Amino acid sequence: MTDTVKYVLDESRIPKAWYNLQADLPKPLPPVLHPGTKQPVGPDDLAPLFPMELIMQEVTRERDVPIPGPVRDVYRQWRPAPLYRARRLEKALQTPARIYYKYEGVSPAGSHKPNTAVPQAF
Amino acid sequence: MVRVSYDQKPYRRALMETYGAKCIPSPSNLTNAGRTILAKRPDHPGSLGIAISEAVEIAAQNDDTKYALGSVLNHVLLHQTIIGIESMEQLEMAGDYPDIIVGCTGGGSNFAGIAFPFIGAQLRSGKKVDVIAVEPAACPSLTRGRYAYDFGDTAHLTPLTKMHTLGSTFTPPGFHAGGLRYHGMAPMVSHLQELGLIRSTAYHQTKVFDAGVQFARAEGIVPAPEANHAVRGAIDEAIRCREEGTSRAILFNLCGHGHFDMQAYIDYFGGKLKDLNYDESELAMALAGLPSVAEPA
Ligand SMILES: Cc1ncc(COP(=O)(O)O)c(C=O)c1O
Repeated sequence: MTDTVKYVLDESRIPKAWYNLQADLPKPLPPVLHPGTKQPVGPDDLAPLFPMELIMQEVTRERDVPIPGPVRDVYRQWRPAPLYRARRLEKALQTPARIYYKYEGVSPAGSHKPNTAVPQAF
Repeated sequence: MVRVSYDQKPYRRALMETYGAKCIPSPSNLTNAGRTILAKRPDHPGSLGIAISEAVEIAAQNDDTKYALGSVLNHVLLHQTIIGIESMEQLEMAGDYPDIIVGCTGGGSNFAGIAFPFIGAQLRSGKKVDVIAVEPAACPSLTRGRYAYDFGDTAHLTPLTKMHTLGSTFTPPGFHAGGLRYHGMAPMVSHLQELGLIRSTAYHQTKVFDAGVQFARAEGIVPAPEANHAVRGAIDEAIRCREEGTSRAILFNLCGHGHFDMQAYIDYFGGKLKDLNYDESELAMALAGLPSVAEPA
């Protein structure tokens, strides 16, 4: 056993794809309905609000959705985010549990939000 | 930007302006949705539901404008899965795998980000994880909301999605985790709860801040008020391990730091945090306003 506190990945290990849980769901999501007709919406109904690329990401059942190169490049400004083992908290709580936390506060905005702001803007 | 946040969080606003954004308090005079609300109540504090109506209205009317959102929809949850994918690799470095995963839920995106890759692994290979969503007792969409079709916004401009909702007319009380004040929950997170793949729990804000301060004093990082909900959930699971004498691996998402929210900590230390209960009759009233939808088979 080591006593490592931070598990840090190299920049080169930033994932190349996001993971889409829709690929593995035992039962698909209920359809999204149009606010007027209350019938299921198609991609074209959403086009005034969202770029087509994001609409495709919204509905795809592909398991791995590639992260565009330029988005990965921006992610490099703060990712990979560190994973901590909360050794001091474990001690304070006198717990036999092994507590880990992923710290998303290292982004420029101080939270997880830029993970999606960057690809949406892209 | 929601009016109360615009006024109460000038530093967050200044940060956005530093990056070149123009921030407009919502409700505003720029949209029909905003004007309608201001006509009824000129000092309306705003809500995420109203701000979404205004943004969607402007996006729909302008060809060169699109709507960007911070949570709820599948593609946002998708982008956040980078959190869980990296965590999985890092846990492998540690030679460990989580028995329990905890995240806070406002719209569900940071929770999805940490949990979905592990839930996927469970579905594919049977590696079991106990996944817990923690929400504020004052905005309890998963624990007390209804699973039904509802609008994502107040003016009913967005498509209808099936989700756990407190009703789109719900104006949450002004407790100190702005990011968790939303009437609905991501359809994907709601669906998982219906399928029994996750469970949810709610805490009052003083207990949540107790946990955040305990965490800061042990680990050094001051968590965002939203993240304190996850800290609370993780600490309670760790205490349960102590009581049961079992060593489980707990993974939680510390989704942000609290440097912009020190006023909330000041209020907590000053004993000013109130534990607001969301009243049963108010809840029933907001739910009575749910749209009627003939469910497609
Ligand atoms: C730090 C932080 N955590 C959590 C949330 C809640 O959103 P979600 O449930 O989508 O992660 C927000 C949203 O504003 C936030 O700023």
